Amino acid sequence: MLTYLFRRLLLLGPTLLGVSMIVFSVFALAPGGIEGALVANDGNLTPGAKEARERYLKQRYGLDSPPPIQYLRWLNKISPVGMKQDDIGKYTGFGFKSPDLGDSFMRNRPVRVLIAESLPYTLMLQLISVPVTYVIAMLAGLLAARKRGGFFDVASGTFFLGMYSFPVIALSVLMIGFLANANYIKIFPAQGLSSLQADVWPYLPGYANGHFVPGYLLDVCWHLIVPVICLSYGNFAFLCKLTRASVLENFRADYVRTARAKGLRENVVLFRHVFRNSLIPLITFLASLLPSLIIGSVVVENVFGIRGMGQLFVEAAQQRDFELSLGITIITSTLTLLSYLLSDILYMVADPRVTFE
Amino acid sequence: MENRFGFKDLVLMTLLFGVIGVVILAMFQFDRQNQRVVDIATNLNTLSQQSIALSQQAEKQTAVLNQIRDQLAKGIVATPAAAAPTVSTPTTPTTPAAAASADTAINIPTGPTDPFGPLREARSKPDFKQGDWYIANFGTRIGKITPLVSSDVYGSEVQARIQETLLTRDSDTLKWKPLLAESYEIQPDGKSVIYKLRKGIKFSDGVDFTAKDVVFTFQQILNPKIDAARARSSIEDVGTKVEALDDYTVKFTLLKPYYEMISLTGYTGILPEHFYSKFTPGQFNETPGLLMGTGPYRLANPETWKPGTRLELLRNDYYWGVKPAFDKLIYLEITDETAAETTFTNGEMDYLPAVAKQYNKLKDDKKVMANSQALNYYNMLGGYTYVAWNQKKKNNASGTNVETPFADKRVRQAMTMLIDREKLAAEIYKGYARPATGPFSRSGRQADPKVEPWPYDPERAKKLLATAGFKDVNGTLMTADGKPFKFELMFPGGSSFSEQIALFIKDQLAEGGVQVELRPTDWPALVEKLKNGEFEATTLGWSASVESDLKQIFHSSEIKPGGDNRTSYASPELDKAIDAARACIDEDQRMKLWNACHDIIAEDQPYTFLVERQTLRLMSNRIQNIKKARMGLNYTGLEVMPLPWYSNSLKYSN
Repeated sequence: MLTYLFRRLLLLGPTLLGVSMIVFSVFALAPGGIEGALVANDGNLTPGAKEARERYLKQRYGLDSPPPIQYLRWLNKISPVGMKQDDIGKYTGFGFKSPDLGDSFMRNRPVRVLIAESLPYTLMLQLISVPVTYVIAMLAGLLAARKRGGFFDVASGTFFLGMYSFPVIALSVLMIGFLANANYIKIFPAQGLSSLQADVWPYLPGYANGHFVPGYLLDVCWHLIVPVICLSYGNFAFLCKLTRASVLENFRADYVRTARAKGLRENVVLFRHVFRNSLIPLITFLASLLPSLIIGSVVVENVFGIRGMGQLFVEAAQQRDFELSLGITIITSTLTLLSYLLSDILYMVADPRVTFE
Repeated sequence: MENRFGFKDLVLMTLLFGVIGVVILAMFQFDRQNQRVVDIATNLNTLSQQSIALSQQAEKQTAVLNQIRDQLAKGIVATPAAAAPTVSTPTTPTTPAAAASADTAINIPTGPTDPFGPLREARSKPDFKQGDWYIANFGTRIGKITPLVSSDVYGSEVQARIQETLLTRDSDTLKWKPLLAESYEIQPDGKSVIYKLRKGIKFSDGVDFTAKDVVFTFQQILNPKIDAARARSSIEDVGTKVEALDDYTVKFTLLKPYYEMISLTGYTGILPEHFYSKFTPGQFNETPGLLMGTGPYRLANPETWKPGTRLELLRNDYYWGVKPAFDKLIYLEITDETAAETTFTNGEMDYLPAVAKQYNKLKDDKKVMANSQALNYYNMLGGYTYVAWNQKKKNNASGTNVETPFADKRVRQAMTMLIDREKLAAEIYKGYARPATGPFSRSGRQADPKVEPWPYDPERAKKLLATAGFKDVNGTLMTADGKPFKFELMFPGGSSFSEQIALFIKDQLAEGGVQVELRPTDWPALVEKLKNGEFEATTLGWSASVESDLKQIFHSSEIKPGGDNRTSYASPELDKAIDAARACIDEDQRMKLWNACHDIIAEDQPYTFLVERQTLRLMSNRIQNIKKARMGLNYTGLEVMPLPWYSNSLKYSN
């Protein structure tokens, strides 16, 4: 077991190296090269001192050296062991140092800070939508499996499949256009995570000066409803089918027959025996969801004006901000690899038949 | 008992996570409330200072009154001349109260030099109301609002509300008016200018504004460690030297007479030295929201704004000038078009920039128009679209530059006459555009009003092409050596709008027998090709400024790698005219010289100037006093100028 873990962790390094190399090559080989975007994104096209700015940026970010050197320099920056640098960028010696994700060209701010700013919004969205998805899909899957081929099974299957096929971007725009539009039904806010007046409201709903005030908590929840729906609905189908299949499989197992033969009530059989055992594939699936937690909500963030990680990554890629893109890539690919490892371990924990010896 | 994760545990876990989530949210809210308490405490503090100052004043006045009473009792006639100086013994205006009554503290003479003219006029209207919020939208995510180091226009818009400049431009006459300066005087040598600053102006934290701040601003720009290469290069080129002659007099000296001297020196937002000198260049470069100034608005905290939090500008209680109407300016960051439109039609936003199709749709929607107003106008800063004809194409095989047919003036003129720009404006811009006559906005002072757009005249074009050696064979134009005349038109790929224009040009030229091959090109690659001259023709746009510099685009000295004269257009006559205009300090005379440049360019057609487009926007009906002006509207977000708009209903309050 330990050797297996050790081997997997050792493999992590080369894989990450490969990933970063590929991403970097994509940037370097694109027409215009890495510095192409610096010229292209320099504000609006006012004839101005473009050249001076270009020269300055090239020197500041070392873009005038050949791409392989730039890549090595970046590797040195993110590694915990390597050449140390002083404040003005001169190399002072070799040794342990604090790894640094570098600076964003476009924003001229540390990548670490940019990620720290965006991550909470995305995590909040996902940490609400994932449990919601799981609870609804699992319940639906259970019910569907209980009466296999019955009305609920067919209806939920069709409905969820329909939702699965409906693009997020279309639904979120439609939701805004109809449910947040004063010309149709205005029950939800169109944008953002809080109302304009929210910062003067109390935390809990109540009355202030004789008016009802929703309060900060309710306001945030109210703003979250539509984005969470848009984030969750597409995953219902997959999870529901997964639960259904797993429950059905367990229904056929010997221990269920025994339980039924003992004269246990059907609900007890379902929830105490079958349900627990059916959870195994769902738990392992959860682990593989981890990476998508980080940048899986691009569309929703964009439409609802939430400044999360998806937004940040898309912007970085569009503007060819290579240190920012690589920073995010490294973080997400580390998470992906770790989550695969985690899901393997969870497998073993959940099902004693699996070993890695 | 089995030790397994059961349903009860699941419920408990969910509850636990729920509680944790709620606690985290509560922490954010407490943080915000704490910030608010601090704000209130600060306000209370200033209020109490105000009341102290007022009571002091009252005491003094009572004393004076007593004196008068005594004197009256004594039977001496008090002449007003004797009493007046005692009454108005100045209490130094150290509080916002005193500063807010700025009309009395700082004397701003009304008349042609009064920058607050339009605002004063608005304030005298019967439905004028002080208060309410103005909510606009930036259709993008703002990364940074720190001056000098922020690169996008949205940052500039916020800075223009918070930091003021020595001078401001009148939106109608386009002439300079003193703002922070009281007056300015160009020295007889033509390369230096002296500004006299107004006394008694304060930054939004109550510290006095003096000549030191002006000097500091320029030192900051010239500091090579500050990431302000763009601003720096224009100042370095002319060798600006700035010195404070005394606390309220600043002198700028340039190496040589330069036409932009006034805008370079007088139109730079002034940074407060006491505030910005606290930060190292590194901190200045990297902090997204370091913004403080003398302007009518301020950030709640000049240091801590971060991207992702809402951008709200509050009223500056220390403001020295005439107060604008709105208590708060809010800038949303809605990127999605549908979401922006919905927010606007819901009445949650006061301003919606629109594209032609959307504008027409909303303009005809009675429900929407019941509470909004539709505006279309020519914005001077809007710029123009063009087709650039490359006269020397870089040949990749030999590495040398080869002359293209466009080196012949007659060919370029013919191309212009083959493209129906009126039709382009009507079809693609839905009529919200007009043909451009040259590189200057037609409403600006630089443009020669006598220059008319070239006519759409395919017959004349064909004759002109025949004189240039082209032959018409069954509707196809042949070059002198018997090959069909064709060229590649490069345009930014991925933009459907550019594609429409490119297709339109292709159609129009095909009617004249010219074959156009479209080359949609990824933006970075396009820039690279422009730089190297590896193209034959391209259609793009330039944005404009109130006074545009032609040197960058059309002067022959800019035919170099990195220069913006990408078409290798060289005209000694134009070079001379541009140099003359750039060396001319007198504005009225200079405009005549620019007019002459315009004439030459219109004749030479180095570009085919396509159209100037209108700016289309919808505004909420609440917002009053929106008028068209030469600059576009009587208030332009990007320019430093007092905001003359107001709301006639107090929808929001602090």
